[in-house]
Amino acid sequence: MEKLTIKQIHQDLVNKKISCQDLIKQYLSEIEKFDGEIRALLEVFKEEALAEAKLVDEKIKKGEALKSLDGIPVIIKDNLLYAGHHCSAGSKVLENYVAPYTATAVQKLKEAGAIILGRSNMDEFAMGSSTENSAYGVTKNPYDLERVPGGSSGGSAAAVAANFCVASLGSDTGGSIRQPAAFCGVVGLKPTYGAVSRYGLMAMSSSLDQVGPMANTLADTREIFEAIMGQDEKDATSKELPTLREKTLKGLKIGLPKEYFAKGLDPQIEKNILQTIEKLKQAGAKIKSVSLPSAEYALAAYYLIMPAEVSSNLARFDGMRYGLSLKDQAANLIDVYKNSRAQGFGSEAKRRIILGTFSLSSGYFDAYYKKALQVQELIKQDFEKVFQEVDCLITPTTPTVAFKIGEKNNDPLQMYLSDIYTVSVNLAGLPALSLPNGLVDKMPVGLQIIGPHFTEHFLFSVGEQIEKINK
Amino acid sequence: MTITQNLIDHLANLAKLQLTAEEKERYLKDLSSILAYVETIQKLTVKQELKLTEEKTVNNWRQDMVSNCGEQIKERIKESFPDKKDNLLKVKGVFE
Repeated sequence: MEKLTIKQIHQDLVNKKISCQDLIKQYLSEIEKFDGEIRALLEVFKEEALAEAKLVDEKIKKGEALKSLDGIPVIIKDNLLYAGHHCSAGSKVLENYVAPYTATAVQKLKEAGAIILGRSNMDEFAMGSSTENSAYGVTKNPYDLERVPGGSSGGSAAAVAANFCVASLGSDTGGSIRQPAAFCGVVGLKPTYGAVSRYGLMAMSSSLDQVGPMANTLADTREIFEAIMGQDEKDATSKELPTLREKTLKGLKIGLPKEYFAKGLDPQIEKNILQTIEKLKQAGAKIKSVSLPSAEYALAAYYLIMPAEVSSNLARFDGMRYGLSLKDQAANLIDVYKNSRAQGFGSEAKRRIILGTFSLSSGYFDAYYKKALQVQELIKQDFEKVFQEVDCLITPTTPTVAFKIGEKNNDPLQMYLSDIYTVSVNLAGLPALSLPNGLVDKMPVGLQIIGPHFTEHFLFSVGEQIEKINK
Repeated sequence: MTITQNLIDHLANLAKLQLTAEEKERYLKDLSSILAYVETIQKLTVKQELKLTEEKTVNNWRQDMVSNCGEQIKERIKESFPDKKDNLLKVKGVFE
């Protein structure tokens, strides 16, 4: 089945070239045919999606105007609440959990008319870079079924790449939208911290988490982002975005941080990104080599700050109010906690809880957690300085293409290193876009554009120009 | 730093996690290698006067008022209770 854009679908529905019910049936049939192997989805809301499609058809029949996303099939990551639907965050703890309310980002998509087709697989509580940490099985990369789709939003990325939907929502704490987008050859945006409400997103690391869109085209990613962005009184950190003038390539100042083009980067990916840079230069952009001196400490700081927040956020899974509870097998209150958590959490969740408990515990707090916060401040300052010299930064999204399933499973540190180019952005709260930039060894490569806070519109306009010159 | 089995036990206890012997061994090994990596930040000299994460992003607070979430949400929340009595969440005794 051909990959359709939001604009095409909108026109086809308005011009009655296809009914919304037939459109949704086509996507459902793609899922049925291919998801047995890819396993991007944990659940498909079939009947509901068809019923909603029927309403769109009735609207068209009556000649009513369609909203921006009317009839557009979308898939949501399993850590976004959708009232009345199961929501497990890829964890056994929440196997039978039903969301009592709907996340703001999902609500906004619904209000714009989108049809939620299902929920996608993910690393447990968004902790992982390969979607191998899900309690519900491994998702495969549609480009090569022996490889991982990336993570933690691996199901959302694979679903878009496999054409199970037009767009999807993911969440990004250290690269969880951009890295799977790069691995699966789709577009992914990690918005500025505060650009999209986190209400109804299950918290992993609250100071770093953001909800963001993934789609096959930049225009569709933008459309979804514009539907979900903005202030929400239920998330005090959320804000309205300023409107920005779009820049042309002529005179655009692009920085290449030298720390991102260093040891550890696959030479073929380096070549691939530099070829695009060369084209941008020919189109009139000014390219400048810049330095982010604290970048080499970013991943280390991230693996102290994030687990600290994980250990406190996951404390709520105590077998008391919801989720898995071993109350009947426990003699006392403490054992309900300990046993429910032992049974419910997978190994990566436990690993990060222990690591986070360590960095917050008495005796280690100053040398680890506090020090990491200081490094975070230095990273923020590095970016601030660099953005006085250039308009945006371009880097590879990941140092390698998608790796093989099982390849990094027994070495957590190696797995963590696949986020090396993405975590700084979260630590500094910046927006970053990952764009497909051709193939290396038949696998997709991601190009990352990083901008100052709340410059998503600008990043999209730069992305569109890169898309054009790459054609 | 050297991670000991005692430290793992202490952390597991703080985190209210029951670990098997095999898990304890694995996390001892994992924590040692992860900490060896994250300790690189200690090489970075940070000036003491560096102000810590003074948030430039100001929170937008709403009025501190009780709002009603509606019956359906209340019902769903109650349905998630592992144990209940009438309209109340039931847990094991806190004081023994």
